[in-house]
Amino acid sequence: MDSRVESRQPEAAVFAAAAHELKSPLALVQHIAQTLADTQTPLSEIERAQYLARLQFTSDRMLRLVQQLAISYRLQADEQLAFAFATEPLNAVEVCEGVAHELEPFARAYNQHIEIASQRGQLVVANREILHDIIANLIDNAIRHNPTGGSVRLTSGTHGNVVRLGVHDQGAGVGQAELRSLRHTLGAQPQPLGGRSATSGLGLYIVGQFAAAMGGNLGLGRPEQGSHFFVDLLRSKQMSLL
Amino acid sequence: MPHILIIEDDAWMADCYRHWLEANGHTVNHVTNAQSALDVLDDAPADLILLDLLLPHANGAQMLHTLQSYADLASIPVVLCSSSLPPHLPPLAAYGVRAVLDKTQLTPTVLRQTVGEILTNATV
Repeated sequence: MDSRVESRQPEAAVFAAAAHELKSPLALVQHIAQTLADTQTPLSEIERAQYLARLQFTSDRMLRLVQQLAISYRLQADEQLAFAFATEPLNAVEVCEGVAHELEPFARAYNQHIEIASQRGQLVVANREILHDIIANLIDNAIRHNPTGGSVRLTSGTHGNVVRLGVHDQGAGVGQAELRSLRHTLGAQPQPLGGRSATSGLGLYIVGQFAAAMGGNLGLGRPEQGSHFFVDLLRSKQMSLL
Repeated sequence: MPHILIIEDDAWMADCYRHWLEANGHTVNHVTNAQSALDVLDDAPADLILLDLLLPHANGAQMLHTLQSYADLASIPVVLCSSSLPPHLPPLAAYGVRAVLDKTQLTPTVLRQTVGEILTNATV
């Protein structure tokens, strides 16, 4: 294949996935605005407040995705940019708690809850905003694929020089054959995973790229049930920031 | 009172549709995936199904096949709904699809009119 065509493949895939991922929330924003303006059945004050909160949440989510895409594009164009991220020792579980709190209304809409199965204390070397986006994308992905009433479980553990942050769900798992091939291609470009066809895989692509920019990587575990995505990040040797 | 089942993985979007349709006097049930839809249909048969094309697990196209494989479900009219419609959608009438709606163009009036017309034709 022509190398110029080959080099544009991830870019084209990201472009297509971004268009797909933005269409749904934009349609939702439009629908909520129409619901708020619908004169046929006026909303109660409580309903109106709920719809406005959803409008705010969905707009924030779109804005975050656009910002992530801008960073992703810059990272793709200039690998050296990764070194421009200001990193610091961060309490990973504390960041997870903050993201979980932010996404709680979204989880509730799907009758789910987010559970953190780790104690604070493990420090990673990371950029706070980038780590926030990594965790947010993984939780978002889990909520979308979990069955109604399910839970999203966040874990963390230390393996040598890395801290592994995991997000577990009870949704469709990834088959063994696909799991083997994904070990080499996960995060290389946006791709929907088997049984998870409703999304484009853009969020996981961004997670993989952001983790790599901080010297880490995205991985996929082999749980008995559901799916387990994780990021390995460099462990800080500083004392705990508890 | 006509009963409508919404199969839509976006809970907030489904809530908008529920609101729009209840205003027309319909009763509405909502599920987020194909398996739950079959469970709900066993308990409460629907007069119409509003089906999202992209769903987790089994997608909308697979759901249409499944519906056709059950004699009691095959005749339920389906309105297919998506924000990412393929440019050339094959004819789907044989799968019970009575209308295809683009979410990015959808309004409360369009949904109410579409559903109303299909239900009126179904009872004639």
